[in-house]
Amino acid sequence: MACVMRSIPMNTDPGTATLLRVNNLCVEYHGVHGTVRAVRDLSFELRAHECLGVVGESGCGKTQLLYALMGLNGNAAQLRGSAQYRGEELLGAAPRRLAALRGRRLAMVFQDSMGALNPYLRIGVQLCEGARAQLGLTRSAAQSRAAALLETVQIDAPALRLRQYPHELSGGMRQRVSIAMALMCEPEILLLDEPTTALDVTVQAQVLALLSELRERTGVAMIFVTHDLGVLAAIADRVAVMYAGRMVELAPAAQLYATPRHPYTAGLLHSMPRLDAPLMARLPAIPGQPPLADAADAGCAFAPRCALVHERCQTLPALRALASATSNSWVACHLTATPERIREAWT
Amino acid sequence: MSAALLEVHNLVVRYRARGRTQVAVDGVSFELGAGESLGLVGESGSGKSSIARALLRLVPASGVAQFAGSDLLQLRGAALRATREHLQIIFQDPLAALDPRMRIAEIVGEPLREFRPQLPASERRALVRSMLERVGLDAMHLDRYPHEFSGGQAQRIGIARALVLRPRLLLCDEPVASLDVSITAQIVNLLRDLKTEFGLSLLFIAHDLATVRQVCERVMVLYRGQLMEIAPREQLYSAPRHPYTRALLAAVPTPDPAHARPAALAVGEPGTVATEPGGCVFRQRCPLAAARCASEMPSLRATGSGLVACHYADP
Repeated sequence: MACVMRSIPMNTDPGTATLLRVNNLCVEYHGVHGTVRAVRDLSFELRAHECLGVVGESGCGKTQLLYALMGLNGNAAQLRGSAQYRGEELLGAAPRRLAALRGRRLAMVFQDSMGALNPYLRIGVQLCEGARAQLGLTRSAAQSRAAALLETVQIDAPALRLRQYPHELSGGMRQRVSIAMALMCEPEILLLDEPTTALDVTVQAQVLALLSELRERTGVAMIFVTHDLGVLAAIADRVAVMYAGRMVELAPAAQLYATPRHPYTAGLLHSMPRLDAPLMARLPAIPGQPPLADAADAGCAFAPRCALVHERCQTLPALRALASATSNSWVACHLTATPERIREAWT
Repeated sequence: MSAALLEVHNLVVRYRARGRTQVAVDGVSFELGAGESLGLVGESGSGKSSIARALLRLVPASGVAQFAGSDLLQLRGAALRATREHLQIIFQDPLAALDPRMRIAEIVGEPLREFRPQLPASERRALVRSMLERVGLDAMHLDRYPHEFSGGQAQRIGIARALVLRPRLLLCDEPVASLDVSITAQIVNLLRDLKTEFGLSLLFIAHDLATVRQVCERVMVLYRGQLMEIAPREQLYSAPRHPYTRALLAAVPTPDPAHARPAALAVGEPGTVATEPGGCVFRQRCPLAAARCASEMPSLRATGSGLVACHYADP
């Protein structure tokens, strides 16, 4: 099925450069049991120095999006659309060119730090490998850069740590090492895939503080993927909400949390147990469950669970700009209900 | 508080591996009332799951655990088997907890087949069907296999299996940690409803303090196998006494960008700081730590309507 061209959330602020421009991105896997459409017609931009949060449930395509940007989907995946880094197309780029960009321009931090590190190699070797290949650093120059970065990510005794193996470090420390490794070649964009999900809440707070500090210090742009709206509130400038492979809402963080305009965003926010609100007898849960990834595009994917479902929801809603002073927010919903009406529907 | 259904005194769980002994639960005592829900929170390695496993006799433990008139830790053979009817558990990974080769009807019917063997098959099937419907699953799912279900549905099946014998105590070991955000609220609501409906006591283990607040009337906070604080919900969340409880609460991210960012009050990580015996186990990470904390282990003392193990916590 062809991806339909639609209006794209454009960078309306002339003051900042656009690092990434993703247009109508589709990621599909064709298998014997049908086609899994992991990412469906996704368009967005990432500006210099910004942190774009991407939130959604398992199977919504958020990790597949990051893989597409890094060229990690594998041979079975079919990619369509476009993803440009500073005007250069990433989809279908030559492997050599992608290898030159990875780590150097776009670097990734994975959820499972133990799985992301090679258990047979010392931390130092793994940290230096990319920098030596990409920047042509000597062994000693790479080692001292690695030691300095370990200090940046607040790991004590860096010289000792460089000689240790991944299993000798705690989960939080391994995730710090992963972040340091991603920063070795001073990338412009950090892709973070659930970087705090596997961590204890106290350690998560430490890593979030570290990431915020790194942003301030280095100005690195981030795409922060998570299922936790609470985590994104602490770090994201803008938040994109994904559901069933599509972006259903994109807005500045303050606006998205205060006045969610998509019923799914509102439903997620209202159904979360939270410590800053009075205790409720029952959580206003979203009924049902997310559709399977091979489901056809028969109208709005969220319609079967939506409290505000309407006849028009049988057709697929396009992502449209919300008429506001800044015009920086986008929603894929036929509904033109006010945020108050949406809140009432869930509570 | 209602009469205690479960009284645990000085529970100790030790694991031995390659000649080394690891103390996972280090002298924990608490009570759980009939129809009460008690939350167990703490970081990884705090001993939460070990307590649940010890009560189910899945790991060796010492101490006393009085449950309905007998000591769970002393029971053997038929007597131990008989208590399983009243003491059930649901797990963190709901799909791993279901036998992939059994149909749902068999999975949920198995406890009945074991404990009510005289029940005719037709009645058993009717009970299974009504239990599944009660947890929100359609009867058409009866003959399906676990892999055909999502995580949230599998957790509902796990709950149905645990409750089909109408136990008195349900141990919940991180029951929503692996579920999607939109499904978590459904399962939390279901557990709350079933607790009221069946008069269940819940021992609810979770690392997510916001979920625990939603489910539990009292909460106990563990660190390195020791009880740091135990208090009614209102007190623990509005006026936490122990510095560790405060650090845990401050670290919870709030879904509101205008709100302060989660604070990293406790330095370091659980399980990485070596502690010499004798003092408070939390002292290396504690913002209040003083000389006394290294020399003298704080004992539990009353604060408000709870207990706290800290020399410097407010009374």
